[in-house]
Amino acid sequence: MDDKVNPQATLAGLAQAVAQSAQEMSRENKELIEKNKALVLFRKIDDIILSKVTDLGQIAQQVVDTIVNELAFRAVVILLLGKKDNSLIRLVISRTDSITQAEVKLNQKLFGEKIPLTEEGNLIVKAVKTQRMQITHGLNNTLTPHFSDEQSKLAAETIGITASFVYPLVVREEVIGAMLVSINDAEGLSEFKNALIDRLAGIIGVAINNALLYQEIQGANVRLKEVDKLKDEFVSIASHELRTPLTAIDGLVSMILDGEYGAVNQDLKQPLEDVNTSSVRLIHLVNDMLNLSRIKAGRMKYTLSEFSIADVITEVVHLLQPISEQKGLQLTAANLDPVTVQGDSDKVKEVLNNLIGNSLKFTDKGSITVSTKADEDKIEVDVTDTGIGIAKEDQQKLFGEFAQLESGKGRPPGTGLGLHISREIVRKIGGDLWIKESDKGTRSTFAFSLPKSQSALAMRVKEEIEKEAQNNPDQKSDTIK
Amino acid sequence: MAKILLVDDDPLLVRMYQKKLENDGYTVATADDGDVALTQVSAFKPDLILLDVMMPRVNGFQVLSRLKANQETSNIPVILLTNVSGSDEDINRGLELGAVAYLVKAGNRPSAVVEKVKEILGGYVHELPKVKAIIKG
Repeated sequence: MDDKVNPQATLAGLAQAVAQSAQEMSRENKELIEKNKALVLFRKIDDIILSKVTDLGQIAQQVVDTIVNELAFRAVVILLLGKKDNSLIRLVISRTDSITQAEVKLNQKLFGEKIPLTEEGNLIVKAVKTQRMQITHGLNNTLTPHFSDEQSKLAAETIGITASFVYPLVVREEVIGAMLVSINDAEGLSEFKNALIDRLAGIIGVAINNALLYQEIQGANVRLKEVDKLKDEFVSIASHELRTPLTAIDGLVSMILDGEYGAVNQDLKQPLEDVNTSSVRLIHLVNDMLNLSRIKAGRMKYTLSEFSIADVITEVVHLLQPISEQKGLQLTAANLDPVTVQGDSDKVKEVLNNLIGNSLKFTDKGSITVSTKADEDKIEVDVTDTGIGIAKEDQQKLFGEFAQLESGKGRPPGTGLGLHISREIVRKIGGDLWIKESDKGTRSTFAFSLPKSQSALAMRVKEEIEKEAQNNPDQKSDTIK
Repeated sequence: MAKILLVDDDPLLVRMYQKKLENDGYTVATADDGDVALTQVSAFKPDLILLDVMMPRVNGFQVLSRLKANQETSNIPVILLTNVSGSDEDINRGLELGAVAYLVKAGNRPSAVVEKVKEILGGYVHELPKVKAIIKG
């Protein structure tokens, strides 16, 4: 045999090859179209999930409608698992005319009633319990126990469903519900579509879970705000209601001690004075608590102005002079820089009053000196005393809420909130408050800073405070005394 | 001796201030709400009124504006007494309505309240206030 080519055979082979590649191309083409559709679908679902809408029902409705439209499915249903009553409840069903028709015919909403997890024969329950996809003809065994087999058949026929797939929605290994996808496809689902729905179930599970979490957080947030407001109201009412009886106690005891009700037995003077001290302390405590809760809730109003720090120091020092003289101490203001600061002058006076007050309380002999030190954009105010000092290990404790140190024993107790509140206030208006130097038995210097007026820091603080005032229209300016 | 009308709905506080005022030689009449206060004013003809702000029915501000609207009573000096820490708004409102002083009870013991009464009667008896004093507790 020579190796002559048989032209007929070659032609037949060629034809076969062409037919084969045409078939392949057609299949590839089909796949390309499907993949393209899938991309479009994912893109649309992404848009829905990332949109500004945060309402779970709205998001889910848009997602199922999009899937039905893009993939030409007959129906998509999402059901959520209610952990409390152990049942599945419809979140959404795709909106199509045929579904509406079926519901009208049956005079009942499809998946409209809860499916209890005890309904073992229901394929949706099975999908949730086994965490595996379930397939069925029409809508068979998906509508139990609320629909009979005949009703299910009627629904499937009306909508044009030949097969349904039930996917569990699983997020971080936990089932949160199920998705039912119904199709009309004699050939069944292509492998690609199958993989696609599988993937969709994952995406939808995460999207729904996110929306659920968001709803939960929002709800918790609202409740927290309510609780916070209630707490504030409670403290406010308690404070005002406590005032009346405390005023009476304070006034009456002072009158008894003044001899308004007759001469007071010497033995009774000390206990009566102790009654007085206690009542005053109680009212301070309530007031401080009210102030602190206001500060924390952002309901303290700060009225910023520019003022001379030297003037404020001089004023407070002058006011406290009598107490200082009574204890035989020297209270002086020295080396005051003629600097204008930005702050809330009333509150700065309170802070200064608190610091000097502490010094007066813990100093038995010697002096208390208030001085200032200016740097580029801040001014520092130092209050130095020759008091009992604070051990290094105790210094941080001092700024906590209700801080009282062992070393303070034997002195009239305060509320333990003064330094904490003072620091909160100073920090709010752009400064800070700290212990500059102190140790057990040595002199102590407490310092606080404030921004100089017109400095970059001052501008920034002003902006922040204005913003907070806008967010909290019920701010009040007075600290309660 | 000067006559003081004491208006407060808290009987305990009324008793307390009354005792202090009487110890200091004043003649005192009392009222536990705004309506009674207005009746007392015409019957008792006080030289000065100590007036609580927070009262049921007719409150202190209402009593004050009625007193000032009436020619016969508009000259009687009124000191507002309040238990609520006075906000600037409240204080201004009281002073605008014609009170001569605004005292927060918690910050002013009975002796301080009577001091204020003496001070005002010394300078203001049967005269319109010339100076508005603010004493904040």
